[in-house]
Formats: sequence, C-alpha cells, structure tokens
Amino acid sequence: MLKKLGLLMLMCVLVTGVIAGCSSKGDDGSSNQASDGKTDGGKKVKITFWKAPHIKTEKDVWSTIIKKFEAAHPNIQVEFLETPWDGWDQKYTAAFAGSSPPDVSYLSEYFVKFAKNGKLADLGPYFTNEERTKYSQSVMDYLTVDGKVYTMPFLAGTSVVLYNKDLFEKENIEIPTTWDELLEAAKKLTKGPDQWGIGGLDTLNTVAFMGQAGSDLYAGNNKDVSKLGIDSPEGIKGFTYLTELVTKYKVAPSIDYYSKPEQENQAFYDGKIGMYFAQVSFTGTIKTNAPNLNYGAFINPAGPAADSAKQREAYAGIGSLAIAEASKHKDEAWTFIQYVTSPENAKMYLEPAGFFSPMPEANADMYVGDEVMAEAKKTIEGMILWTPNDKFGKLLDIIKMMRESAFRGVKSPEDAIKDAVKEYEAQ
Amino acid sequence: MNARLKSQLISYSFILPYMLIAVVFAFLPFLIVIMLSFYQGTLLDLNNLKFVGLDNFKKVFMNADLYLSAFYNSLFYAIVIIPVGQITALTLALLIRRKSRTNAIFETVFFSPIIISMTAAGVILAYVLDKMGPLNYLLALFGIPEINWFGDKIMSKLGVGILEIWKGATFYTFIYIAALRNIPADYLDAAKIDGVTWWQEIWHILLPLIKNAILLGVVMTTIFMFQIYDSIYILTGGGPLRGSESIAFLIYRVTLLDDQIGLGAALSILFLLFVLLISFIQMKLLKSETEY
Repeated sequence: MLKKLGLLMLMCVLVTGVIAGCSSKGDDGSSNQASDGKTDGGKKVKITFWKAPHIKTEKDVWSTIIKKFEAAHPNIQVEFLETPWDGWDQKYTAAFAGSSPPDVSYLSEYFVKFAKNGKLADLGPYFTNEERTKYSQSVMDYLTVDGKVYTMPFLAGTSVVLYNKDLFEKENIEIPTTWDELLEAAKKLTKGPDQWGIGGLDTLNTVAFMGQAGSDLYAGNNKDVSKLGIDSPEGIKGFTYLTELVTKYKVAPSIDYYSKPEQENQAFYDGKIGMYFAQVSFTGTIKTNAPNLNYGAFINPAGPAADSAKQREAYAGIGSLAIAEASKHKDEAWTFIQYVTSPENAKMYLEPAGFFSPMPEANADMYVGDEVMAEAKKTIEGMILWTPNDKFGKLLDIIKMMRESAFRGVKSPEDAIKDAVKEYEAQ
Repeated sequence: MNARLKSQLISYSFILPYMLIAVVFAFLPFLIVIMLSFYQGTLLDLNNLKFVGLDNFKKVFMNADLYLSAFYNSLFYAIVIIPVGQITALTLALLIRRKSRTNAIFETVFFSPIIISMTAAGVILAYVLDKMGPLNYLLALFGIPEINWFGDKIMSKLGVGILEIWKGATFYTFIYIAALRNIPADYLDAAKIDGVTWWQEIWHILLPLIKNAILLGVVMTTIFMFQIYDSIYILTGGGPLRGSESIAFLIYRVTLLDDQIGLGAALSILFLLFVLLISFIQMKLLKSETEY
C-alpha cells in the first residue's frame, strides 16, 4: 500500500512539474517578458528591453544607461536582455507571436513584419509632430507603415570603405574614386598567397554594387516590394563587376578562403586586406580588437549609374525602438525610449558602437576630431534606405544565395539574378 | 463495479499518461499540420489564416525546382548513411556479441557517442573538418591537398554523413547485440559440431536469426535519415548553396525562416507520404516469410 502511495505521489510530482514547465510565469509570478506589475500606487514597474549586440561591450554600455535612467525614474525598472543575432528572427517571432514579447525592443529592417501583423503599438499618441520634424522626411517615410509610425528612430548606420594606410603608402596608391580606380588599386594591393586588395564583399554590399550601377532593389522605382528590380542591365552590370573582382581579377578572396567572417575581419586587422567594405559600426570593433591599426576611410567609389545620387550607394539602415502592442506598460516604455533617444543620452551608446543618430542635429558634436567618422558622416546625409519590406529576411537569404552561386562560378551573374528574382516572386 | 471493468480501468490507467502525451505532442500537432496545409498566413498572426484550398500543394509542384535539391540530398543521405551505418553497426555487434570483460569496455566506448549531444559533436567535427582545422593540417604533413569540406556540395553532405554515422550507428549496435545474445546457444553448438566456418555461421545462422532486428534497424534509420536536421544546422547550415539541405531542413527554412507556414505544412505532408511509401517498400522487401 505504501509503495502504491509512493508511486502515486511520484506521478503527481512529475505531472505538476510538466504543467509548471509549460507555464511562462517566472518565480515572482510575473510573466518572464512583458511584465504585468502594477503601474499605480507608487509601485515599481518593471519593463523588459531586448536588443541584439552591435559591440562586445553591449551589456556594460546599456547597464550604464539604464542605471542613469532608473536614477532619474525611480518608479521604472528596466531589465535588459542581449539577444544574439543568430536565430534573431525566430526568437522575436516566437516572442511576439506568443503573449510574452519584450516591452521595448530594438528592431532593424525586420520591424515591418511585426508592425503589419499588429504586434507593435502605434506610437501616434506619443511621437508628436513636433518631435517628428527633427528627423528627415526619408527617415519618417521609411518608418511609416500603412500610414502609422510604430517605431522611434534610434541609430543610423551606413557603410564606407576602410583602408590600410600603411599598405596604401607602401604601394603609393591614391584613394580610388571610381570603379576603374578601385580595381587598379586592388590589383596593386593583392600580393602573394594571402594578401588581398578588397575584402568585405558581403550580401549587403552586393545590393550596393548593383545600386552603384543604377539598379533599384525593388521594381516600380523601388516602391513595389512584391517584385525585385535587379534583373535589369544596370543590376547585371553591377553584379558582374562585383563577381569579377573575385572570380576574374582575383583581387578579393574566394568565398571559401575564410571559414568565418571573423577570420576576414582578423585579416584586415593583420594588414592582409587593403580595402575593406564595412558598416561604419565596424570601427567600434576595430577599437577593441586592433587599437593600433593604422587605417582610414573613404566613401564607396562611384559606379556608372546615370543618377549621380546612386553612384556611391552604400548599405544604410535605421535601427529603431518599438513598444509591443501586448505591453501593459506602454507609458513607461515610452518614457524609456524618449530617454535613450534624446541626443545627450543616445550618444552614450552611439559613440562606443560607431553609429550616428538619425536626428541630424545630434550628429554635429559627435566624433569630433575622428578622421574616419568624419568621412562616414558624409554618407549619413545622402543615405539611401531600402523600402520597408515584411519579407526582408527571405530577401536577404535569396541575395546571399545569388551572390554565392556567382562567386562559386556555379551560375553566371545574369543567371544568378534571374533565379533570385524567380525565387523571390514565387513566394 | 465488477472485477473485469476494474481490471480494465487499471490497465488503461497505465497507458493513460503516455496516451495523453502522444495526443498532445503527436496526434494533435499532426492534425494541425494537415489543417495548416490548406491555409496561408504568418506565424506572427495565427488568428488570421486564409483558407487557400490546395494552393500550397500546387505551389510546391509548380516550383518543384526550388525544392527538388533537398529531396535529392535526402536520398543521398539515405543511400550513403543507411548502408554504411547499418553495416558498421552489424560488424561491431558481431565482433562484441559475446559477453566478456573486454567486450564490456568496448560496449562503453561504443555507447559514448550516443550520450554526447548533437550540438557538442557537431561543433567538434566542424572544428576538425574546418579548412584550417587539424584534419587538413595532418593531410598536409603527408603531402595530401586540403579538403574543402564545407565549400563543396558532395563533401559537405559527406561531412554530415560522418557526423550522423559517428553519433547514430552504434545505437543500432546495441539493438543487434541484444538480438544476437537472444539466439539460443543450441543452434550455435549444433553448427559448431557440423563444422561451420565463421563466415557460414554469420551468413547462414546469425544474420537470418536477427533479420527482424535488422528490419527494425533499417526502417528506423531510414525514417531518421529523412528527418535529419540538427546535424545539418550545426555543421553546414544547409550550405554550400543549400547543397546539404535535407527535406526536414527545407521544411524548417520555409516554415520558420521564410515564414510560410502553409507551404511548410504542405511540404511536411508530402514528405510524410514519401517516407511512408519508402518504409512500406522496405518492409515488403525485407520481411521474411520464414519465422525462426
């Protein structure tokens, strides 16, 4: 009888454990993400904030900012979670699809799909017209989905070409300003088995090169996101030029030369790559990993695009902060967003991370005396933002495959583009 | 309550926990997948799915070239991993079938890959096979050119095969050992008296007697081989150029990365039908008319 009782109790414990495991409640009885504490009655409200890292010291930088914020707002407690980029889309999709999204989240180009599916709070009641005038029209257009604004712009990132000054001096090379000059400089810089003229020709730069030749990413003057605009003579020209840097002229490493992007970064630190196409925020990584590297920056050399505004197209993006529609503390979340996006506080993050503010006035006194960032600042004014697209993740994957198949010589650049367009439009 | 009913209730109560788990985690999701295959929508908003009838299935067949490479890759895995894995498992089982202290040590060694997590095993193998990893370093010492495991479609699939065989083959070794040890000693003694060679013993006595275990092993590994996902995710990410992507990995990509749940569900159903067909054929081919 005792044995039976014991077995029954064991069963109960196991079943209770399974049921408890299925619950999303934390130890304190609150949900583990969007918190359900009380806003009134002087009680401290806890809000959650998720962001993927741009720098190694991400957690420390946010810890400092949050401490200052909490000192100024003693009724709000912010819990920061650094979410890795690897599997980012799935993690955020799962969180927003369920009932436990973060109150505040940092979102890049992916914000559209969350906004379109009603997962983000309309910032209309908070983000006043007066505040909106502080941002350029192109930024506000970019953030507007179906006539509403769901996110608050926080950071602006563009791309430049970083170059190794010692190698340029040794080979007596001038800063290239056109595609032809870029190729010539790259030929001079490519030496022996492991020194390359150019590096960093990634998926995002693939689109930039096609843009420099005059191609739009999307059809209908870049407005119709249901179709791609790269299957054009300009797109083929840009992609062929890029591919030939790798396959014909061999001035950039083949796709398998480095196993991981970190190895390519290391090659630039070690002086094995002369010119490195990179996002401006990469300078923050250089500060940590190669503080003695003697490097400079220049804006992308001009391609043959008929439209002069497109000739030096570079990848540019706006990172913004959003409030979950499911959040029970929208007011407190907005207070936090306002605090961190104000020019004086945003600087605490933007400068160590190597970003600019999307608010032009905030950039005036940033990176004073920094030669590299002065060059990068030039790209902020004319940055070309891609039209928001809720299929952005899929698009990036398709462009990645397109680039890989041409770089490996499996397909001609033209065929690779055609197949990419076909796959995108088959959705 | 009469005694018979009581006895039946007690019997059913024993299988109730399993039935509950099976219903919640297997039957219900299966029905949901069938339902989803007739809808289109996003994971973010499951309340607003749109009924599209057979459109998802039509899409799969109309854009078959986008999905066929995953199908061929899965066939490759099946053709390479199943025979190599099963022959390895059988050979090991035959070598250590007798109970002894030395064989106990081998059993422990062969069991160890099963308890290592796939993630850890994948990370280790990725390091070993890396272009600048220890294997290529060793090959270079003997003047053999480096192997680009992750830059070639065939080599990356072979890499996945190595990981799967290393991790999975010895599991079947234990199934076969159990079957071999269940063979009555009289048969083997009689064979010895008749003067059979070791090969005759294996081919004419041992293998026929464990045929059912082999059938189980082959069918199980076939089903698992078509489902491989984690080893690919960790080792190759499906690349290069989706050249190591299995059908299961394709379903994951379409459903979660591309956020096309209806299409992913339709692919799952077609995949299920295919695996059922293969398993049926295997059972027909391997099923013995003779029962020992």
